[in-house]
Amino acid sequence: MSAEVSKNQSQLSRIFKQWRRNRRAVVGAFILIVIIAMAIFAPYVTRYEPQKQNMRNRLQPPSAEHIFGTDQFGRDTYSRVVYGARLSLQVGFYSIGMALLIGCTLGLLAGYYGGVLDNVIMRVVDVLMALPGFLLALSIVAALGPGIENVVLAIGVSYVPSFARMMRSAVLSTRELDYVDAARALGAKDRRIILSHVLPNSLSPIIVLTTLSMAGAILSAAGLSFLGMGAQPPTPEWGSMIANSRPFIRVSHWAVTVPGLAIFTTVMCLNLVGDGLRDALDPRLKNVG
Amino acid sequence: MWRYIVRRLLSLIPVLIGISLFVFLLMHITPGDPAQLMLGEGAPAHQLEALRESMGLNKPWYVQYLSWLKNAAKLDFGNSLRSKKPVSMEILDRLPATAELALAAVTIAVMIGVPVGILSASRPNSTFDNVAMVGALTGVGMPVFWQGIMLILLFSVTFQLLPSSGRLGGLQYLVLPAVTLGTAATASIARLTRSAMLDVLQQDYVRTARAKGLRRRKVIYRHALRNALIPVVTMIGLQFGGLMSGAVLTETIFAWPGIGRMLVEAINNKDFPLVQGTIMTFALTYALVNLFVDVLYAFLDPRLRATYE
Repeated sequence: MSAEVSKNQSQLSRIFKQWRRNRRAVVGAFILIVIIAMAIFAPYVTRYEPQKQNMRNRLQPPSAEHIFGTDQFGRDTYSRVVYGARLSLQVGFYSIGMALLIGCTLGLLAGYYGGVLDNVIMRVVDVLMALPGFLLALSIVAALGPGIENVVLAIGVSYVPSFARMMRSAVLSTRELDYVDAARALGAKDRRIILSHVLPNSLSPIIVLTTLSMAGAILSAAGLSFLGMGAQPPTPEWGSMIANSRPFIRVSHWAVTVPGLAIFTTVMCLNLVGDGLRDALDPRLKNVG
Repeated sequence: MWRYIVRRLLSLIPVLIGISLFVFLLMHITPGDPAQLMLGEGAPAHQLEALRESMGLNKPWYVQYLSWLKNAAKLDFGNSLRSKKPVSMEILDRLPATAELALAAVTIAVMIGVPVGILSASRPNSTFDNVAMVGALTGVGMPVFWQGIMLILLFSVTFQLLPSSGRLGGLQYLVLPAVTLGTAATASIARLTRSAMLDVLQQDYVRTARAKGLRRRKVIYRHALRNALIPVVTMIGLQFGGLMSGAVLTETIFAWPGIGRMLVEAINNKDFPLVQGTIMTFALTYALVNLFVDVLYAFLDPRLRATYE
């Protein structure tokens, strides 16, 4: 047992060492940690309530009071962007969590058991892939109605196919390995084979796909909110902030520029971390995501 | 080759039927009564009932679906609840604008992405490579709707060089929307061209070509590029999905009269037939473009061509 633990540890530290050598990925991770920390400790790093209006202080440029200025209702842009990070990160986390859980389960079942089950699952996946992800999510939100919960659900569903397909192909390639045959010959049950052999072997591509999909999910959620299908005013959300302050860009563009930069930075950092993980975990996965 | 194309075309049918069922059910669970939407809030009950009866809304959902599917196969998606015009007419009216925008965006993406990728790969880790790849990462991570607004802020509001919305009136109306829509694709194509080139440059036949004394330039353009471009062709197909999604946002920002903007308007108006028809058009286009790219791929790669002949 202890030998196994130390083996795992050494493998982890090897991957970490490899990853650390990638300067872009480390910088991305650092900025991402800062963003997450700011989101968690939002009340401590901001001076104003994100929804507090002050009509005498509308559309102000940056100043000592409001470092990123104010929007059309006199709300502090900086506070709204920081609180908006909470929502965007949560949407990314929950929607991809859902896709991961459902997609991987479907992929596992399809790949491991094959036959009719595989056929049924993969045909459903084919249908979901007949529309580009964002359009699929848009049509689901169109049916369920606007709202951030529906956005999470819609984006989650739109990412199920990628996880299912990746998991299925990972399972198909491990299922045929000699030591899995050996485990089966020794009388190991399906559950045990899946949990202790198939899953650990498929972890690398899944981790990479999760990170990169999280970036995509945040981008999609902001896009849906921009179209008015996501978070509703006055909730501070990056996409809807951009949409709602857009008519005022001729007077003051800060309430549009800053949330956009926030989306861009978060997405870029997640992509950098994901790219770095891909290179560290398995250089063969160059084209994943 | 023809057999392959026909087989692929046939395999599209179940997928399209599946997506049509999915879209139909989505619209079916949407709260809101189409008859009420058509007649307005104050419509008397007997009129509503008569309209529901005539539209078949009182029948079970699968009967409604089958009759919808039968008509959809003839490209008849019913009438828009708002304009009362046939959905297919509405789509045909708007499709050229989207096609024009998408074509312009793909052209930009290929014209810039491929050369940048080649130059980056031929001088890996040079200053050009580093700048280009950071630029490509930026392009991939930028929200398309925000980028569009920033371009409007810069080129329409500040410098007043280009128009910020509309379509008819000349090529200058196309510039900002096409650049906005094309950026992410340009970035992905540049990244992929670079990595495909780097892969190919490590192949034995490239080493052989170098070893027999050919100049570096000649090896890159004569031997490596042809092979590296094959995965890039697939990438252009994959990019098309992102392009369609991006078109919805880009058209909304620039008031570009295409089907992407029409979809958003139809969703906001709860114009179910128009939503269904537009989504089916997107699905069909996506499927056909992917099919075209697969065929092209098989045609370009002699190894694959042999298996299909």
